[in-house]
Amino acid sequence: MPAIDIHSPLRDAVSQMASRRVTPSGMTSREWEALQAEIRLRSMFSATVENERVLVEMKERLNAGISNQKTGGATMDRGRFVEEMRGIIQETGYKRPDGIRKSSVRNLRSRARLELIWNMNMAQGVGYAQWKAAMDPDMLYASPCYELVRIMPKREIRDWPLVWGDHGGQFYGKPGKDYPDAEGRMIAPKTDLIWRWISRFKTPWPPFDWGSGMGLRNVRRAEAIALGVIKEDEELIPQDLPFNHNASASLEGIPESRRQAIVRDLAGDVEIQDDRLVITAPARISHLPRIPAALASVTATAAATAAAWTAAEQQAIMAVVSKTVAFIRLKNQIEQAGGSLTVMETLTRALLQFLANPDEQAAIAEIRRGPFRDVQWTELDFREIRRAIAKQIGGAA
Amino acid sequence: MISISITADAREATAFLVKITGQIRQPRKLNAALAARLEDELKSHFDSRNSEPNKMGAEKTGFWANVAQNTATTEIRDDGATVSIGSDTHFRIHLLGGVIKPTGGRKYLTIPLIKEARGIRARVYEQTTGRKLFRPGNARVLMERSTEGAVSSDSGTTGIIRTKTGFRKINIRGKSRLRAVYALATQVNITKDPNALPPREQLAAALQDAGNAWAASLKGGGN
Repeated sequence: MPAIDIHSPLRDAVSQMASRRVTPSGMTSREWEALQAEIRLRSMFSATVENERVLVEMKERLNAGISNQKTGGATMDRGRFVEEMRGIIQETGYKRPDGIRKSSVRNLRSRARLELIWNMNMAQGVGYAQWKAAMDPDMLYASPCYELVRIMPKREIRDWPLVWGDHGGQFYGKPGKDYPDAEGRMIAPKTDLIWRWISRFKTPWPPFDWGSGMGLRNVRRAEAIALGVIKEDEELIPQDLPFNHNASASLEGIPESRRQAIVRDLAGDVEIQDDRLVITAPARISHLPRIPAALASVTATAAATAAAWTAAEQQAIMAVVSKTVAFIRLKNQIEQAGGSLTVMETLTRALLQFLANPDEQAAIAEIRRGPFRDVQWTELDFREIRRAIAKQIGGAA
Repeated sequence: MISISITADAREATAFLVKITGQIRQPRKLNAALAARLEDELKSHFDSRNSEPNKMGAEKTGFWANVAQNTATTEIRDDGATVSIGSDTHFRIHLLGGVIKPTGGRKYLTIPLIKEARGIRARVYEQTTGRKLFRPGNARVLMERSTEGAVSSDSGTTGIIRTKTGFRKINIRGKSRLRAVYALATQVNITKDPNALPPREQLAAALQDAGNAWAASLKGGGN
């Protein structure tokens, strides 16, 4: 019988769900315990502060909020977080940067900034829990798609339909009330890469940007089929991503002496790569268990299988492809043409579409649209990339 | 032929009973479909609650949006499913009612009386507005000197303000313009919100609709 439970925080309920049954990746309960630690670590990725004490104090409070722990006899909530952090930041002698208003979100001590830090960190934990719950195979069958909708009004509204379309998102049906001038509703399968492309944090779960006010709502199977988002007999393959997937924060403006202190305070779970602080929690997927060696030659069979790859498998393959001469050459061409990281991610997606399409000419035509029309593709490019993928597939079996 | 009948569970306020006529091979899929519908009905209800203006006309805190975000299907079994509403959202007290008391060694709860104070702690209000809050005499209220919507007092009085090291008394001159910002309460009784959840009949009807659709989608009478 269906029932409503109101006794556990969502994150705990989701982890209990996972511990009762084997997840698609075979994650054990021990790995779920490690995941809780990752959630706490992830909570730090919004401050971009210089002062180690502020960082540590913030981490403790966000940790208490995420794990629903009592400190000093009371639970940590947003109001308490803001009040206490304002006092701590003042004690450190923090000075508001010149030209920044007291109430500005760029002032670390402002209510707006601290509330944003709290909201974002709590939302990321909940977003991940929601996403994991949605990846149950039978839930994914019953509700295969998400719609991007506005869940909170904002004064400054980003043009999300433009963002959606720029990243290859499709529109379906009549536009919703939030964006009546859009081409339609912003809907995609839950496993579609679009959810990562539109996210500033490159994760497929909300929040998708700082204080965006956007969220997700389920689109159940019958409606998804009626709108043409999925086919009637289509079944999605659940994905599995660690919570700290793609987590990084900019260190721009932070002197070297402070950077090492930040790394030390985060207890070795992070490292500095270029100008960014990156979480180095080990990836959960280190192999491709489901693709046999027989698919080493890329044929229509492999193309069909490509559609079944999880996001983690796609990532692993792209890690190999990105080292090929062809890919590097294409990347340079795009960058010289003024392209950006976003374009590169779209290229990745396009290449995977190519692999999923048995009609090579149609796939090439598809890839050459949009931002890639000026890129000088050659047949050798595709051959080299195919070889790299085949090697990755064959080596994994 | 499969038929599915949904009724509200008389013993448990937040559960529904599913009676299946006919044999189905994968009951978990049915329960997933029912749970998906239940989840969506709840989220839709919380979304509409979130769009209601608050009594003060203050900036929204996003309480109901947060409840919607913390709602998800967390358990699917052959014999049922569970949709969870995160307990850390304070939704329970709206659903069941209860008493809120101050914690962390505090004596009073601060209840905002003006929209500018909603969702903000008293100390943060002072810091961000630059206006000190004081307690006039033994009154259970925190007031400020303000020309906005203020009430004049004809005679002087004394008040207590909080300082970095404790509290101190201040004099309030006669005919000062004052405004009550927070009420102080030793506890607050929260009455049950009858609209915390959608009506049970609505949920049962939605689940029945989902069950009928699922049964109709079966090919050859079984799955």
